Amino acid sequence: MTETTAKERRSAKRIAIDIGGTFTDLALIDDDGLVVTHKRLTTPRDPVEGFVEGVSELLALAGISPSLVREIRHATTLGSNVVIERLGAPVAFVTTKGFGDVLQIQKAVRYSIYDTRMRKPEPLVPRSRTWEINERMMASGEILRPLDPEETSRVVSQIRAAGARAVAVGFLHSYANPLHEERVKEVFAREAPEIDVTLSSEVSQMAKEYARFNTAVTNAYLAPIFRDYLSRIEAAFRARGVSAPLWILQSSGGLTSSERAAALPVRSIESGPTAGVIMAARRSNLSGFDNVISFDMGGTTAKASIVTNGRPTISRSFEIDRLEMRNGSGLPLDTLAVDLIEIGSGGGSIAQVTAGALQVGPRSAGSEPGPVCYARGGKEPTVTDAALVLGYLDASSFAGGKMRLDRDAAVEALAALGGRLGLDAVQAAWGVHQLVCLNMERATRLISIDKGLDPRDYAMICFGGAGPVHAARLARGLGVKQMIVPAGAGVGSALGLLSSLEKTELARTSKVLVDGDCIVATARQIFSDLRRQAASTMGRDPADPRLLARHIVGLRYIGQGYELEIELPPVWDEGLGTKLRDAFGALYSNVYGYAENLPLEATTWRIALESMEPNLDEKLSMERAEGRPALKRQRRAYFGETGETQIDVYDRYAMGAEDRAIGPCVIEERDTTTVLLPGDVGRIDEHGAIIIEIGKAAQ
Amino acid sequence: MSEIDALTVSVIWGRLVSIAEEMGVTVRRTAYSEAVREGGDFSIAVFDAAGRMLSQADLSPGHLGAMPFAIGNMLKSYPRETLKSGDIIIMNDLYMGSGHLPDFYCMSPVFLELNIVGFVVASAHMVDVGGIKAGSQAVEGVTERFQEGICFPPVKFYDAGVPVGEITRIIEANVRVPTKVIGDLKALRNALHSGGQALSSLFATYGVERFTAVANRILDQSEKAVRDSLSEIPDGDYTYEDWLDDVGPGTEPVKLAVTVRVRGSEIVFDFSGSDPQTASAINSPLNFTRAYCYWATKALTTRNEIPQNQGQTRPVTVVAPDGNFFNPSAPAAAGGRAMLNQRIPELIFGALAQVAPERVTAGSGQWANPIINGIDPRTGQRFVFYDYLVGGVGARASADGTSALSPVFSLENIPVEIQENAYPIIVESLGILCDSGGAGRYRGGLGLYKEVRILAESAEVSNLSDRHKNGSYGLHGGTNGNVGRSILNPGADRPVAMHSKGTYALKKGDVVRYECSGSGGFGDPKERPRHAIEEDLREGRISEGAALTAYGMRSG
Repeated sequence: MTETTAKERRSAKRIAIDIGGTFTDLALIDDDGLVVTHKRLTTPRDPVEGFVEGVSELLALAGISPSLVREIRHATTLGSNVVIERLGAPVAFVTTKGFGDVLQIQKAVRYSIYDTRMRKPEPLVPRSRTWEINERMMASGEILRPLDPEETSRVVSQIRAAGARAVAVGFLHSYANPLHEERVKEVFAREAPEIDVTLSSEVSQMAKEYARFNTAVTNAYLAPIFRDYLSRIEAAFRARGVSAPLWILQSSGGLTSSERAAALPVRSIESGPTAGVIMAARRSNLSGFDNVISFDMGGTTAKASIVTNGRPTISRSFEIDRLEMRNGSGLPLDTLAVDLIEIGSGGGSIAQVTAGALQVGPRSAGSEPGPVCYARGGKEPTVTDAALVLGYLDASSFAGGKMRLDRDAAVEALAALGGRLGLDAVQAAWGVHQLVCLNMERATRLISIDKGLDPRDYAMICFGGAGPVHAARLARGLGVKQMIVPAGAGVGSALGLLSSLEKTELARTSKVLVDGDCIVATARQIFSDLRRQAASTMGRDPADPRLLARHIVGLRYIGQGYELEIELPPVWDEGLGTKLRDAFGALYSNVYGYAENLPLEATTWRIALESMEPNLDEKLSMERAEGRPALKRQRRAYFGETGETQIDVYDRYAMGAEDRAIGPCVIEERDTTTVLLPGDVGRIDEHGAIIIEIGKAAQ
Repeated sequence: MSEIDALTVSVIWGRLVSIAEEMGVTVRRTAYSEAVREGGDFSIAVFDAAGRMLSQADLSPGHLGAMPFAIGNMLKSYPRETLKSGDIIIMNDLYMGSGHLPDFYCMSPVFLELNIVGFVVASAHMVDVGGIKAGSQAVEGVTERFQEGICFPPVKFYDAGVPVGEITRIIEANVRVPTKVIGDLKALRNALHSGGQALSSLFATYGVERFTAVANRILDQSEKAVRDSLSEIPDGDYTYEDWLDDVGPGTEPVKLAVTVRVRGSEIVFDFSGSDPQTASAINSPLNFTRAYCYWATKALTTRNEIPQNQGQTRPVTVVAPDGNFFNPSAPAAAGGRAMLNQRIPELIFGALAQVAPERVTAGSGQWANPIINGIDPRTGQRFVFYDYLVGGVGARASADGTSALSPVFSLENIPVEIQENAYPIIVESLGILCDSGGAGRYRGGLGLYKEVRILAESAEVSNLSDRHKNGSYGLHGGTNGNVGRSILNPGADRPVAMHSKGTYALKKGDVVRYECSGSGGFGDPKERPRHAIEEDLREGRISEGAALTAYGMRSG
């Protein structure tokens, strides 16, 4: 990252800001492709305050006037935090008469079939805040029982009296005919305009009531919070003369406008961790790695995800708040999302003694009070305190020297903890360090070994402020042989945001037999409609040539319940039906072993519209400090393998292509520190990434 | 053999489990019946060349526990040395498989070069296999299995990758909904194909010798975990008795009894004290009895902490004399035996409730598995609507029972929107039944109710449930769950009380209401905290009347 002096009239092409539980990471790129980054503590009581101040600090650092910012991009953990901690708005749920228990019944699946203690996930709306209305659609979309306007008004006034801030409406078969849901929304708009309304037909066009209703309920649960949050950010920026549009990263990895994110917050529920995976995929690809484990460790949590062939894994639906990744243990959402696992192991995770045994996390000291060494009132030792005591972090160069750490206080707190187990401060710190690495190893196993992927076949890309501190030990536990620490690893998620693209996906269900010319006419009609809709949500002209469209059709043999997706070829002529049949037959037999000679139907039609932009990653050049020696100094550090020992401390910015860092050693940079264990060998590649061969020197 | 590192063992074990799970995804995604593709009424397991079950997809315990016996029976008809790559053997014999004809087993040998290195097995519940009533699990009027549909001993469905046309044509001629049945069988075939390839490549990666060493280690470690846990239960003989309401309209109750003998790390389940087999469609063939004894053993010991495999059944012995209700002899029928799945663990839990109260639950709500059939006016075709709804789970020593959840199997609730798309019905309601759970310090889970209106001109329902007379037991002072009911036209002038196992003719506009029984409570109701009772009232789990009678609490 290039540190620059103030230049007159320089304008910021875009600013990216990723707010985590402990740290807020920022990055900007200017018109010349120069990148400036910044890291600060999150302000949990009011994230908006930290957001606005962070941007001001970043602009000051870059010497750019607020009025010359052209675009702000944001990733936030707000959505998942609110759901996991059940901190959302009081929501009411309105549904079809006879079906008020859908959210309580759920899938009714034993996700642990042998465990008699298994619990269902806690729904976001209790039965006591559910209202039934006597209306009914049929599966065909015909009205069986019309909606009674008087009953609807009565329910609206009861919901208002119950103090709900938001309401979700989920009627059976609304994917086939949304009329009744829309009518209820009109009544709310007229009679209770202060209540946010989410319709299940707005968030999903899929049959299967529980997942669709739950998606609507989750959206309603988040809507008032997102709306307040985003409008306060925009107001604060306007007050400071920034009028740039605000973009929010969705769980799918695509950007969306703040208006759309406020209306459909459920699509941004995994916004925070997603940005990092995008960065991981792009940067590891640049350094020549296609299959990597993305490992992101911040102050509050650690996230792991698998990147295969250079692409993050994306699911069409997922469950939030799952237990050990078991299907059915979380709340299902009909939205696109990057596959990842997140656990409560971060730099701020608190160590304690429970039942005579050391335990780390999931409780976190966050940014307030923060680890003991931050000297902001924290009294309980954390993972970061342990890293400082072990000599992995340096008290005076943490956060580029902006934050001085209190090593003595950390030693004292760890000594007190260790005292209860007969350990000294260093031994206790070593225990904490090992335990947090084991927790992360377990989580990473769930997405690799438990899916039959051998982590030894993968490289690991690590980032987040605490990631490179712990990754080498995690890599050893998993048998990973190569580790990548990309340029700007400490603010990796913010860099991921800088290179994200605006993306909109829309789908529609419509059953058409694939047998002749009729499929061409249908495809033209449905896709031009979808393109118009998708472009309009992006505020673009449907004919805009910079919009790249992918047209995808879900096909199945008539009578089956699940589709295989085929991307349409660029040209749709009379041969389309045959092409689809052939492509489906080939795919079906490739996936399942046998193709059938049975009638085929198209059921779902999906458009993915992406705004084309040059890839920025090649431009993100590594800051260089020519002439400075790569080896800064030496200090004492503790490793289980060696005991306390003298290690080299390298300056990342001064390392050249010919330099080799041999572990045990550390490589320091502004926002993170990379720890190499005995035998590890690190070098800098041409993209500024540190490539570490695990245990290579020891062989 | 060099020492194998723990990481390699973990990777192979993880891969074995994920192969089974991926096969499950294939079945679901290519199946034709709602019961299989939405409900998940199928199972998968992976075996080694010696026929030992190494892993399974955690789906239906009834299929899974019976699988090692099923594969053994198939190999008797088709010895290993006669099998070719691409062969698929199918079988639905109730005594060789999992206890009723709708369960079809498909098995394929897995080759590495010229040698069999393992087997992959997939099984599924077919929505119809012929017989006296649609759905092939009717109880009324059935006395022997010949009335229950077509029965295949092990036969070849595919021969070296080529479909055996005769078998397909025989199936088509004998079942009421051939498209769904053939479609589901092909879904199983698809899973065997992909699973077989994956298993073969796993062997290729690690080599047969190394793989076998790992398999031995997985089975031995798993066995030890179960034995370690069983050793903590005090030695002794523990007996429990319960009653099945009856085996159809006009029949007598059936005594269900078990003696659990714990000796060190061994456990014996002895059903000798139960009544003899019945001349009805409700009997528990031995493989089915075994399957749920294995389920209970795992629930008592390793739960979901380690994936299931055959090592964990080694400490278990199941005793049931020939002709016993839990080991009926041919030609006993068993189409309705699914009602018994939860009853086997419940007997075992009842027996161990005094010595290991923290490992068991009170009695659970009885599930219902009614089948409606008729002609769909939209298509003019026959439909068979296989439905089910679950009771709840019994309360435990430290928690309320979960409502609307099966205590034993993993079937998913089939979405109402899917059912109404597929069948000429309107579901008028599907909810959780207030007051159905037993009272206690911890309340029993509540059961489901459902009302289905018929849109076909005429139709027929074969009901299948129990506990319409005897509620599920409470423990340590907790009261029993409420009994279930089945009602024809509940809102009409003259509603008809339906028998839990009766068959009834239906006409357009009729409504059938099913109510599952509730689960038993645990501990003295007087010790239930006031806030818990208030929450139950607020959330509609108990009525004000029940708050007063069961807990002595007046509201307000």
